Amino acid sequence: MMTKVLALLLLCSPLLAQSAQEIIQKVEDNLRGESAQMELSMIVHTSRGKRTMKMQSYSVGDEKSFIKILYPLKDRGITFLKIDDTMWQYVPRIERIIKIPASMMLQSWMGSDFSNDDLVKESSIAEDYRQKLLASDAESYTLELLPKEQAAVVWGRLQMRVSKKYFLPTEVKYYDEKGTLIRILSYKEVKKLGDRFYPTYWVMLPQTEEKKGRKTEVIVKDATFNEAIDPAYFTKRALKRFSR
Amino acid sequence: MSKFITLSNVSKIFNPGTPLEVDALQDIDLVLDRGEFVVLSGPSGSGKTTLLNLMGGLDRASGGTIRIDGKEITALHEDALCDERRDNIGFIFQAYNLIPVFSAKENIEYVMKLQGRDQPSCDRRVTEVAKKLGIEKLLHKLPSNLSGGQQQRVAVARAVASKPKLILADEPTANLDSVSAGELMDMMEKLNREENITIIFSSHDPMVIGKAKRSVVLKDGKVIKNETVS
Amino acid sequence: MFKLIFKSALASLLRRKLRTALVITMIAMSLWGLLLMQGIYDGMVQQMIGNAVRSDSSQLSIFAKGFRAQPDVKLQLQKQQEIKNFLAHHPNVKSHISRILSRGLIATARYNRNALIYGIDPGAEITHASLNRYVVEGAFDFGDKRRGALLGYKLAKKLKISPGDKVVLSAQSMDQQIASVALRVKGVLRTNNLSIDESGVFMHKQRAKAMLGLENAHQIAVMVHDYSRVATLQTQLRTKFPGVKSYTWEQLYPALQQSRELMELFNSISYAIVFCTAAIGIFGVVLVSVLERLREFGVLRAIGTRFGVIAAMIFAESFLIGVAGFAAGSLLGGATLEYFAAFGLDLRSFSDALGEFGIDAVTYAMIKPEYFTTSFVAVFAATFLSVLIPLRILRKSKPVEVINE
Repeated sequence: MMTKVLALLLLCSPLLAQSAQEIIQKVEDNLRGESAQMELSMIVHTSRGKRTMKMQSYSVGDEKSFIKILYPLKDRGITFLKIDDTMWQYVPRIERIIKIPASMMLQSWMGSDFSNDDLVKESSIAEDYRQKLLASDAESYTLELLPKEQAAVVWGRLQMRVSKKYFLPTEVKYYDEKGTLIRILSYKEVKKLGDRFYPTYWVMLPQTEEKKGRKTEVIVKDATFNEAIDPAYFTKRALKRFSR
Repeated sequence: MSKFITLSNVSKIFNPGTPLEVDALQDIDLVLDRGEFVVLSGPSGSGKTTLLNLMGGLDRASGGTIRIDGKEITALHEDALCDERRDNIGFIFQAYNLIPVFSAKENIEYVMKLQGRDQPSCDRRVTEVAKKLGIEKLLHKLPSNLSGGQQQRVAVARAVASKPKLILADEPTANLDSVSAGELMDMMEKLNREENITIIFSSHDPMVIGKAKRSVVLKDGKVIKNETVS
Repeated sequence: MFKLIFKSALASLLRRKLRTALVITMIAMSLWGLLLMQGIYDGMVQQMIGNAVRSDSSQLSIFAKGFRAQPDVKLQLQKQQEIKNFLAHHPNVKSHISRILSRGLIATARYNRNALIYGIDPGAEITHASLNRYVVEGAFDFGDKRRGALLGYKLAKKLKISPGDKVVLSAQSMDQQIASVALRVKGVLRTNNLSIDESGVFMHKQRAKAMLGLENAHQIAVMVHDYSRVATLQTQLRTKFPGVKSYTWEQLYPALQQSRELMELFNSISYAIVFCTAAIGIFGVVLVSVLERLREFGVLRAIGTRFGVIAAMIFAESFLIGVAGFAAGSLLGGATLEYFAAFGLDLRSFSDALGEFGIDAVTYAMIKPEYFTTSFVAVFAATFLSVLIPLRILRKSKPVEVINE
């Protein structure tokens, strides 16, 4: 009797719960697709008030992306290009292309609670972290992501909740090495956009004393996935060319 | 006896050409022999001290010449004059003027040391002179531990130790009581006799004047009397 | 005569014991102060320089041409091995090490700061200039896997991290990419070299090479046996290796050189002030001493002492006081300096303020023979000069006038 149960269990195990890696892979695929084109607005809340930006983004996989700021007027025309780990910025007012140096990578992107590095590195969850499934309930998986020994990430630990229904992240908690919660990124309001379901409202909430009272919201207005994008967007010339 | 000291036409004017001009000595002519025991007397301000100072080379005459044992001291320069005082003249001051940091012995042998004599010969002479003056037991004391009379005797010993030809004593007994004064004069007389040192002293103490063999009286800078006394 | 002069001088001094003791004490105290100041300032400057030299530039640093003006990661040293061979065989070279240098960023979960990255070989650094002596927390070690990092203490404080914490270092690599690496803090250094303490991050040279894609190093730091002949070495390097430039520590730290000169100036001024004060004090005492003995000197002259002899007596007194004062002051000063040279002057309570200037909290004094020779001259100058005016007054006085009451 016992052996029979065991054998059954053994047979079923591959079919049992998805592995953490598989979950992550699915999440990444859902968030990115082969290519994506999005219209976004970003609202940054600080102690001094709030600031709204509107932008257009084009991306291919996780290696290339191009962002153009549409609003406000004073920032209109600023473009960003990311290829692999490198990022460039074009500021039309001073007509200059700046390569974002290491020191600027950790500065916030356009004053938000996302850093330049966040934009560049979000792609590396699969490479840089060991994924472990912590818990599973009716609606979501809870995964623990621990940075690999050699991974160049500042976090001590990430905890991600993934919705079982959509295989989209609902919440990512970022902890430092000492276990202090530094920030929480929430993905909400899943809607059908293009060929898939997508979280259209993201909120980055810093948890530390120094950044109390701040938050950054990202609203995805529109998105198209897996349509061909002109490769010209992912050249340095694109920064200036598509600025207007 | 030979002519030892000759003063010719010696004069001394203090502060010449100023409102404080003083004719201290005028036209002094004096001849003294070797081995004399002379007293200079006269009222205060008569020039006794000035005359002694000139003879001792402590001051320069304004005019005239002074010869001691043939040497014209008025013509000597400062260092030579100094050497002359060191070798040939002894001084005894009214205020003893012993060197306070030296013992009696060191005071006495001082001039001999200046003359370059070696320690043994100094020691001998000091003992000799100390005996004559009755101060052998006081040799290691500092002047501050001696009485007036004792100090003056040490001063005499100092003046005599280097065997000068001439001793000049300016009112040597002025600060002494009569007993000590008498004792001092007796000792000086003895030295004059035994060592043939010419001694000239100034005083207005009649006791002292009485002991002299020659008396020179001064008044207003001039010699008014010069006579031997037997 | 000589004996008489000194005997008389000695007798005069001993007679007025209190006064003599006073002047000797004045000289001794001033001398003590001077020696102490000199020794400690020199020690301070030496240490400041020593810290810069040991922690960073060594006595001579070699860089690729143009590196100092614009420190680009691409400006590696060409012919590095040949240069190393040349140095290894050079008679004046004591030791040399090579380092990777880069500007970058250091980040933790909460903070990030600019960093000066040094890729070093820990074993070589210990032998070369004992860089390990600056460790104040943790250990001078990068771990078996060479994933350790050492931080300057001010940087560690700003990032609020200590040994055991993780940091991410980012810098631009050879191929224009931004390279990042995660390291674990193994130790914290306090060098009192401000730039290192505030932004320095040390990692293993091999790890740095891998991270930045480098073949060669950026800096070779050299220690020599005889620093006075370092210019020759520089000329030889210039001729043999035209693609590189060498700099002595003075050329790399002109500010330090200026500090040293400033300190020397300050020292000389202090010296002069103390000297003048002592001289005036001595003068005052000697003047009074002579004036009150005018009568005594008058008597001596009267009984046959030449002026020259009396002058000699007064000089002798002054000389004896000088010798005694010098001896006492030197002994006191020398002993104190020896103590501070061995145990150091502990200014730890002021260490934060001093740290701002790059001065160590514990200063070890220096002792140089020049201190004593210079002060000997100073003491004798003071005692000699203090006698001149009193002698002038004495010369003018006439024995006749001073003797008579």
